[in-house]
Order: sequence, then C-alpha cells, then structure tokens
Amino acid sequence: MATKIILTIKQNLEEKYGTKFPDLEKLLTALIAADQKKGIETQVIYLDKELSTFSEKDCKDAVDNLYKKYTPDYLMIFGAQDIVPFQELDNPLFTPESDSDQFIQSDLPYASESPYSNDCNSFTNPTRVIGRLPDLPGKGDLGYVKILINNIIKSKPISSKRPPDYFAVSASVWEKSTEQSINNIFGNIKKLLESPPAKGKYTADLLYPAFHFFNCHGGLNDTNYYGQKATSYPVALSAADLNHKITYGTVVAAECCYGAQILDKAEYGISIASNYLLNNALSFMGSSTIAYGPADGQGLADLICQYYLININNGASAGRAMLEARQRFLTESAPDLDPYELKTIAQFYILGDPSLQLIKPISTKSTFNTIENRRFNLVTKGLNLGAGISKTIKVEERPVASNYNEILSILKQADFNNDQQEMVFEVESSKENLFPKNLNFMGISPIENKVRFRVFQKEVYIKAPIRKIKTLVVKEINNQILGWKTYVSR
Amino acid sequence: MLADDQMKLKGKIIVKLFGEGTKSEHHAVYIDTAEGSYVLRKKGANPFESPDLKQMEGKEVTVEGTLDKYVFFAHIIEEK
Repeated sequence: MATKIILTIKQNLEEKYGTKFPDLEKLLTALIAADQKKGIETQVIYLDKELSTFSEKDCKDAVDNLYKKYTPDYLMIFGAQDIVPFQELDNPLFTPESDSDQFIQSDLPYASESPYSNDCNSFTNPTRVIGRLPDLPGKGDLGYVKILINNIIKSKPISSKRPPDYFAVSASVWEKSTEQSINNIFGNIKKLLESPPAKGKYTADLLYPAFHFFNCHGGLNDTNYYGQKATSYPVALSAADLNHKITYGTVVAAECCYGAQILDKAEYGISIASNYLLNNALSFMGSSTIAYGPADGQGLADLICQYYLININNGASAGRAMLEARQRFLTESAPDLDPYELKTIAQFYILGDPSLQLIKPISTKSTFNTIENRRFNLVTKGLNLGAGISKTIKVEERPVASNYNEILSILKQADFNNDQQEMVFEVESSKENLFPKNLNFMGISPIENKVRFRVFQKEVYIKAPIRKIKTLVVKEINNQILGWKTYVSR
Repeated sequence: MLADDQMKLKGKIIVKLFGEGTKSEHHAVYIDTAEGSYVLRKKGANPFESPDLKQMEGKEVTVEGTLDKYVFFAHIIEEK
C-alpha cells in the first residue's frame, strides 16, 4: 500500500480556526478514510513536537526528520504560508532595478534531502514527491477547506484524451513561444487564445477542458493575469472569471509572474490559484515570484510548466509530475545552471494533494511499473543530479575578460552593444569527484578552472515609447567561450 | 491615527522601467522617497497600466497605504 503523510502545525491551525479546529480535524480524518479506500495509508502528523520555534529553519528540519522516519510515497503540506511557511531562498538575480524579488518563496527545499539553507544552489537534488494543500491565509475559512478536501475525497482519475482538450491563454506578445509550448503539450494550437483580443469573462464552455495553461503577465498581490500588445495590458483572466465555471478535476499550469501566489482574501481578494481550487480544480502549478522565459523558442518557465502537464497527462500523480518536471528541467540545464535556471527551479510549486492521479495511465504489463521502483529511481536520479550540479555564485568584483574581443563578437551577433550592464556568476567547481586529475578538456583542466556566466542586459527600442529588454548569457571557462543564449524581453 | 500596518510616505512620482528582462517588464510608477523608491499602485488597480498615476509624474505627493516587499499599495494619494 502506498503511504502519505500530511504535515501541518497544530498550534497555528488552532489559533486560526479557534472553536472550528475540531471540525477541521474531522475533515482530515475523512480524507484519511477516503485515501484508505484508494489504497493509500495516510497519517496526519503535527510538526509541533519537532519544533522549538516556527521558523523556516525549524520547519525544514522537522520535515526532514519526519520524512526520514516515515519515508512516505507522498508528502502533503497542509495549510497556506501562515500555517507552514514557505522556505524563503535568496534570489540570485535580485537587483532593485531589474529583478525586485529579494527572496523566492519556495517549497523546493521540502522536496530535498539537503539541510536548511537560503541558497537555491543547495536544492538542485529534489527527490521527494510533495505538494501543498493551502487554506486561505488570514482569517480561517473552514468552508474553503471543506470544499478542497471533499474534492480530493471524490477524485478519480479520468481517461486520457489523445490529444487532450485544453484552455490556454497567452499574452499576444508571447504568441510564438506559447505556440511551441502548447504544441509540445497538446499537439495542436487550435484552441490557444491571445490576449488581447481575449479579455477574460470566458464562458463555461471555453473553460470546460480539464487542462488549463497560461503564459501571461502577473503582478504581486494581484488577482488578475494580464495580456499584452504594445503598451496595452488588458486583463486576460480575473479570479472572479472562474466562479462556478471550472470543470471538476481541472489541472492548471501558469507561467505568469506571481502566478501561484496565495493571498489574504480580506487584504487583496482571493488569488487566481486559490480560486481555481475553490472552483473544483485539483492541481495548480505556478510561480511565487517574477518568472522568466527566453527571447526566442523555449526555456525556463516554458519548460517546467509543459513538463508538468505532459507528466500529468501520462498518468503521473500531481506530486510525481512535479518532481519529474523538476528533475527533467535540471537534467536539461545541468551540469552548470545559469542564475535564471536557478531561480526557475526554486520558484515553481504545486498546490493540491500530491497523491492525486488526475489521468489514468496507459496500462503496461511491465513489472517495473511499481510505486516502489518509481520512487527508488526518482530518489537515485535526484541525488545524482545534485551531485553533478555545481553551485552558481554571483561575483561582486567582475573579472576582466581577456577574451574581450570574442565577447564583443558575441555581443555584436546577438545585436548588443559593448556598454550594457553586466553581471558575472561563477560556478564553484565540484568536479574533483568526477574528473580524473590529469584530464584536460580542449586543453583546459575542468578541475582547475571555473565555468563563468556573463549576463548582459540590453534595452531594445521597438517603436517609441515601447521599450523592451533582452538578456544575453555567455558561458565560458578559462576565457574560452562555450556558448551563449538570450532570454526574455517579454 | 494610522492602523498598525498603514504607512504614510512623502516623495516624488517617477516613471521608470520595472523588471528589466523579466516577464513583468513594463514602465511602472514609483514613489521616490528619502528612504528609497517603491512601485506605487492603487489597491486593486491594474499593475501594468496606471494612466492616472503616470499623469502625476514629477509631482510631490503624500501617500497612505501598506508596503509589501517593493510595492506600496496606496489608498490615499494627495498632491502637495
């Protein structure tokens, strides 16, 4: 029988729900009974006994201790950030002028064997199948929790449609990139909407499909997603658009900045993510902070979101779909993650019960297709990924480029000038364990030399007053260029 | 008297690029104070379009509201 632990903090729940706390416990008991019928042995474990304080560090340590004790197949955090805190990681790209997020609210550390840290680099080894079932931050709303738990209790996987039906909205300016994502996930772009002209207030018929995908703008503490064409940013989806219109069992992936934030309803209104769950969606995947994509083609938020939906449609549980998406993203990015890749892996999380299987898998007769084998492989793969990925650290004193002429040539090819703002990141070598000591690669010792990322940002004037920014990342070792790529300006 | 989480700031309205190179990149309205610059947003307003605030560019104002991370959510904006 599969096993699941639900981790939460009793004292915070009691303070929030007061006299209704016993009713909340009854809901969790009903979930345990329903899981039993589905072949999952579930326990609710209060972290309180493991905690001396409710700090992020103590919570991370407690989760790690309990995970090691129970080694569950699924780990579900119950409660919003005011019940069990997100782990706040330092944003490697933080600059007040550009990326304003000083910290990244993350559940990634809870998915990792690494001890508590504020450094994203510490958690490039995810091994655990986890998710968070959030209540609403602020005042306790038992009715909200009841709907979410009852939806989980009655869930059954549905048959996969090939190709799956979907509802998708893209900011008009990102149409080309979104088309590629949608094609990769759903095999066609027939139903992709652009915003503008799409401006929310969709019909229930349009919202009916079980898969929803968004590549739009989002704002801190805001309850809308926004499209864009030139300097017009119409509302592409409002949280209120979802009321009574979402099909039971819907799964959502949102690339948007702050796309999965969970807000205090009294302060800002209910967030899109919270309202999806209230209106019968079962899983929501998105970002806590400002997200990125490449200037052309696919990368970063595009990739991790599409991996998630592809895994869901192949029959993975929501938690396994997220873990496999994280691992695939890291596999594609390894061995040296640039700072944009680091932020992406840290900022995306799932909301909903991680044990829910939303789509029936295509049955196979393979005897390797067991939960034990899948978990063993995921743990092994995650640990191997972590061992092979080095830390990427911002260098405050930028080293002078002795390969300056080559960099100038790349700047020219990428249509950059030589006066752009530059940030430099170095990859701390952990290659001692991987490479023989006398190995030279292209005449360079990978042990003695560090990989370096030079990041340039450039303003592009399309047509006054429209202004866009293009980012160029150049990868080098020992002043030898290994490659370059451009991100965003979306 | 202000509630516990309410703040009053004095500063100048400026417009500059927010989120260079990110999916949130746009020209945003800031309040530039002695303590620092904060994105200025009316509570519940479109964070990417604020024509009424942009019209106040260059003006000295007093604002009341709440500060969360780098955004000041204002419910009162008064010109000096």
